[in-house]
Amino acid sequence: MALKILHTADNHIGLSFAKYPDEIRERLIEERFLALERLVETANQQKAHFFVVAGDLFDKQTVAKRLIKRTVSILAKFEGDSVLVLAGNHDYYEGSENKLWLTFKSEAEGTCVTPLLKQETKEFESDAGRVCFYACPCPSKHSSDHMIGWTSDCDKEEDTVHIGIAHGNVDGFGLDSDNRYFNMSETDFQNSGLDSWLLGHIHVPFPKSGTTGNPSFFMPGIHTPDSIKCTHPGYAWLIEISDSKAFTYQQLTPGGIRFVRISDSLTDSDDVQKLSLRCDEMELKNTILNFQLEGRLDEEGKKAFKELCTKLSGECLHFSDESTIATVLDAAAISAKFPDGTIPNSLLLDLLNDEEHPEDAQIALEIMESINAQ
Amino acid sequence: MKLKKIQLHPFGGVENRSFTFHDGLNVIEGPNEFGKSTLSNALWHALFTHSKLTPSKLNKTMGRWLPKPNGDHVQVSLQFEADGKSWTLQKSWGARAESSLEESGGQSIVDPNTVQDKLFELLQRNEATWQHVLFVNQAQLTQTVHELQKNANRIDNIQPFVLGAASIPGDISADDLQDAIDEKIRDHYGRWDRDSDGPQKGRGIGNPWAQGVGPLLSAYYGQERVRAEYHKVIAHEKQVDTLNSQIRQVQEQLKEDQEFVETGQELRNGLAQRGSLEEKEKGFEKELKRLKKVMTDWPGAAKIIESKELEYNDVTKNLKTLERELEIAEQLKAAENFKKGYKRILDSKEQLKAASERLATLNSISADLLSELKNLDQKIKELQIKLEAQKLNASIESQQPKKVTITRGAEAAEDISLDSGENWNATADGKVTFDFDDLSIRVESGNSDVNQLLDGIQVAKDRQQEILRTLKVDDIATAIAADESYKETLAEENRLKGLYKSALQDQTEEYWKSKIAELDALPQTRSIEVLKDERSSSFQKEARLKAEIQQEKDNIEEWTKEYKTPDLLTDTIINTTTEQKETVSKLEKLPSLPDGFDSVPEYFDKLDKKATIQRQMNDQLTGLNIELAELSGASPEKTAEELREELDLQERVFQRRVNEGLALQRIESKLEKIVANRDEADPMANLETSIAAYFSNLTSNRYQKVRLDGNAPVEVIGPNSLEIDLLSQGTAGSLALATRLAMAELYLDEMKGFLILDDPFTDMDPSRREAAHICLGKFSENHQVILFTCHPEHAAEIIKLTSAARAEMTER
Repeated sequence: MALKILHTADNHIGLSFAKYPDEIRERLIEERFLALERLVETANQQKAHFFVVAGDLFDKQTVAKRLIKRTVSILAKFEGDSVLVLAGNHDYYEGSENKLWLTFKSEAEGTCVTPLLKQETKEFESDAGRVCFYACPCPSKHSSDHMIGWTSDCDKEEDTVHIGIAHGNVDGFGLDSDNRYFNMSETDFQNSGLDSWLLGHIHVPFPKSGTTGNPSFFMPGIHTPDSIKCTHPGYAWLIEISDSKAFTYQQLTPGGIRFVRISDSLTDSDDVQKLSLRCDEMELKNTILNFQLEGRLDEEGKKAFKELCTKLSGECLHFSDESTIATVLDAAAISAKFPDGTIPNSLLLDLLNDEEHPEDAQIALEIMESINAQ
Repeated sequence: MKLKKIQLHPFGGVENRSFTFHDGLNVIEGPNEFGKSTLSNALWHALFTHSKLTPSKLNKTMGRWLPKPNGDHVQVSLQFEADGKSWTLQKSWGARAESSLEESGGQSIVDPNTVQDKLFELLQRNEATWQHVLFVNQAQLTQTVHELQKNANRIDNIQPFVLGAASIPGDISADDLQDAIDEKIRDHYGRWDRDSDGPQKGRGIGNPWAQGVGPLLSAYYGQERVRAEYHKVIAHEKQVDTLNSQIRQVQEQLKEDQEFVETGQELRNGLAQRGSLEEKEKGFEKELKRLKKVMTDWPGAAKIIESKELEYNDVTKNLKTLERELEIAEQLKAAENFKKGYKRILDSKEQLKAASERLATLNSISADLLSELKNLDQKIKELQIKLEAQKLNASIESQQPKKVTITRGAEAAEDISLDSGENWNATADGKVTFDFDDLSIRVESGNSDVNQLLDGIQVAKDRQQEILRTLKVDDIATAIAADESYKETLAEENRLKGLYKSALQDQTEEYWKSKIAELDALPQTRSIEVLKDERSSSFQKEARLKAEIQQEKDNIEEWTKEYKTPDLLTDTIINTTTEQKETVSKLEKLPSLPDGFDSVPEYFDKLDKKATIQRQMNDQLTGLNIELAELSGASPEKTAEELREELDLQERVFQRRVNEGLALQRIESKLEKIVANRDEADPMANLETSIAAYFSNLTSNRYQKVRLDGNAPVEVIGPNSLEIDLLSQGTAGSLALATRLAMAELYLDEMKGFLILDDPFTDMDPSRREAAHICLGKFSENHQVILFTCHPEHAAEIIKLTSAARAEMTER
């Protein structure tokens, strides 16, 4: 029987989403719980032996008690051997006075949920055999040193699956030019002598492809998107380890919302049409959509774009437009709008000659239009 | 441009229809469904709509004109004159999109862009001019009337009035535009100091402006608030990191020493015993070492004493010999000085002898005689002075050589020889005598008794000579010198006598002589320095040997006192060795001292120190944890990551606002330049005159003028002047048409062009309509006009009243 581990991380419960309107914010906060629930359900359906949260289950130290309580209650629904929750760099554990983890421990008491707050091994005798987890929690938000070095000194029995759980950046994988996030390397993993590592911190998944093999580490990615920077739907790993320690892994998509930023360039109405079709393919009611489009459109295109934005505002979970689209204002367009010899005609043509500031003509046109609108 | 013919094939509901136009006023009459709008649009699109359109634009622009139900294209052909040439334009949109423009007898252009560019060139006025000024549909005229009445009270200059009244969207007066831009800039930079590029009076987010804040400052505040919060959070995180780092360090140090301290506590009792036993064992070892040394030294001590005593005696004997030699050496050194003293005696004796002998050779001048001599000398001098006072001048001359003895005064007689005729002159004191041959001439001074003086002198001189003879000297000076020499030699002899006596040092010369003989008999020795050095080292050796001998004697005394005999000492050594072994055996059973320590006290010392440090560090850890808990309790609501994202957004917003501000300034600057140039040649200058002229004609001269308030027509002036807002619908319609015609005239100016009008007479009563027809007829004398009307009577009237003709329509 293969050992099954559901591996998630970076759930960031407690994210405030302060920049969103109240109802959206509540929906986003709720989504983090719902996605976690989906993962627990999947883990139960798949009869996973362990449910591992490799750090940053919580977004910060000051997460409200009710949110901690709810999180534990969700995790406690796991029907396998144990839920192992590692302190990450956001929800780091620096000592016994940490209120977040005091609350967590208190809530988790008597459940299958175990916080991993110190460097230690956790050995289990599961249906699938013996497994030893090596907990490498973060004691702070930042550190130039990783926390996994100690594992190489541990004695490791052959008939046991040895799995490290850590949180931090991996060389060549995430972005940590300042080396502030517990940077680990492939060499560190090799030196540890463990069968593999379940990591957290980087919000995109690793391995990038495939379903079999023995990768030195797994990174699940965030379980449901948390910001526009997250371009994927939210992932987790369901990892199976055979008696011969062969790994197969399946990517889960528990996320219920998407953050999408579209940063294309629009040049004509057809582009707007294509953009509209692209948006139609999205599940808009669960999408936080942000446009950062640029380019220039003629009036017709701008009108179509405006209509599209209006439509999206109504259909998206949340829609924001930070586009900087200029109106195509060429001499012909100006001539089509303002009779010869008029001030607007002269001014716009003059502005149009300033190739360094193509937006000026558009701004002037908007002022003119606002005057006419009066 | 003059229109000649247009063909719609197909276009909208028209499958294939042509209209032929002529110069002047063309009337196209028909009911609303007739297709006036279709024709108007076909004409418009032929001239202005590019044949190559995107699908959406095609749908938007030409979609309504695609033949129903399944038409996939529309097409318009247009013949016109422009630039003195005839042209044929063909455009189709949709499935067969293409353009062509052919100059009669010339080349044909087929590229859609080139066709459109050429068309704009031939049209001379831009698209907007054609759309808003020269294509006047009914709705625009109705709107004009409406605008006239609605805006009558707020129109403040002619240009916006004209354009607004004529319902030309978009055109704006320079003042209005300038005002709007100024207002926009003022608003945009509300409370922003452009010079310092920051909030006015430096009021940042700590003391922000509440009123009059423009978008730029608002964006700035937004950005800075988030930035401040972000930095606060970063600082907080750093603080937390620092504390965590300190806590970790303390924990690591605690962990590092924890095992040492815990182990140490367990070892403490065993090691405490080990400490005392180790000390004891060390004592045994030391004692045994000492005993063994005694055991070794004791038997040899007596021999050492004997040997050293022999050596000591030799040294003592040698010292005595040395002392004797040194004594002689010192005597020899003293003899050298003694011999020098003896030599001084002999030398002074020799000198004394020489002085005595010299004295014996000298005269001892009698002091009385010498004194008398001196007195006589004095007396002679005094007498001679008196004699010299009796001075005589004597002169003799001889006639023949003669020897004369002359005696002057008291002087001795002198012999002189006179040659023949030789004269002799001289002076003499008191008396002169010339003796020659047998003649003696004596001359004496008659003042006193010269002879007495001379006698006194002679007596004194004689006595002098007598004494000198007695003294055996030639003169008085010699006598004095002899006296002085004698006295000096006598003094020298006395001094040498003193020296001689002093050199003898109260001894006799024989004593000195015998002593010298004794010293010369002493033996030779080494130098005093060598002897003294040897004596000094011998003294030291003697002292050392004495001390060593004493030490050995003391040792023997001590050992005897302590151990009585060497045999008993052997017993003591055996006992001590046994005790040492027992102690070592006990030590082996006790826990051993951890590595790195030489003794238990050293270990305990370190253990105590570490235990103290552990307690201090635990206290420190507690303090740090409390501090961290307090800091964590005050954690910001948002994380740095959230705020960074927010800050990025705010920075983008602020930068957009900055750019907008700069754009507004550039727009303002350009507008100012355009307005400045515009003032020199205003293309709208004659507009109001033209409106007034048309309006006068349209109202049959009822109103001749349009009164302006500033540039605004606020009143039409005639026999019954009226405020604009009081104009009837019909009059307003006339004013609208006048405005339209004036505008068209202004723009068509000298160029060939056409005006499209759609039912402009709807709101006019017959009389106004008639005036309008006439007016339009007049306009069409210079410009082609295409007039659409759905009113047959209007068409008939205008054809009747003017040279208007119906456009010819051909249906295929």
